[in-house]
Amino acid sequence: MERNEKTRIEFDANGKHYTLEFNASVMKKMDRDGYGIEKLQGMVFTAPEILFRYAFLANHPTESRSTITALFKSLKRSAEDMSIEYDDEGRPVDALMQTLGDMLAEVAEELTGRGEQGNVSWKVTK
Amino acid sequence: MESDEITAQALSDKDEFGKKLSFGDMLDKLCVYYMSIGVPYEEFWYGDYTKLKYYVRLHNLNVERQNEQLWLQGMYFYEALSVALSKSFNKHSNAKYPDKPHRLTPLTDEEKELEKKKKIEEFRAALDEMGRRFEAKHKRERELALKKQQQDGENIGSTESNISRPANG
Repeated sequence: MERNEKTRIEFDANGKHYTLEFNASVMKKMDRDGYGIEKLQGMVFTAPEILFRYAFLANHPTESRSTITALFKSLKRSAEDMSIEYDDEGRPVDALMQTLGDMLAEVAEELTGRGEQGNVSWKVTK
Repeated sequence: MESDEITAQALSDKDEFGKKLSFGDMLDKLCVYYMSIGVPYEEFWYGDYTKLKYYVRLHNLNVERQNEQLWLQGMYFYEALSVALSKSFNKHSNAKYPDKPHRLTPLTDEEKELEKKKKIEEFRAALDEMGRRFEAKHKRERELALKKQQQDGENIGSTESNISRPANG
């Protein structure tokens, strides 16, 4: 299906409504700060928090790093309308990290025109 | 996405010398490309990236439209040249440049109805003309036949008078 809306993460905390998203400007800043897509892929443990921090820049650029870190720790790893998925080894998948990764990939895909999809369906067989 | 050379180069992650670009540098390159197809600077960096594909589709449509216009221009030029050449090589040529531009948009229902009426009238006029010609041809044939009959009659009369006239001698 064609994407007509960007993926965002929304939540309420500390009496405030937060909308986290990426755009080209944020992605450029990440790249300039040394967090290119390839580098982030190698940072399995720290990447989620870094992505979370940069996702604030589009709509909440003045939020302090300590607040963002606190918010990151306070968020559940799975969204309220999501069922928990498990990886091959039976561990719950970190949906927050997965969504942040998807959001980042979405910007890259849309900007480079690789997000245009065909209509042939496919499935995975094992 | 469009597959022309300029777009392919703009969307590639390599620079003009084939060196791989960082994502930040690629974004700068993409910004120039999107601005060239009408995306405002602010829209590219801070706007909704899911809307960019509509700019690309609009651009593709404009390219197609421009291509069609150029093709049409070529067709008019070809027709003009054909008429000029035909007239210069043949004094009796009836080649003619079209009176009005070629129709590019579909006819409206009203125009279709008018066109239909016009064709019927033309057909009727052609039938009338055919009838008139047929009449004229037959009239001429009848006249000729009558004339021939009269001539034959006169010839017979003169032969008869020649036969009835006693020979002098």
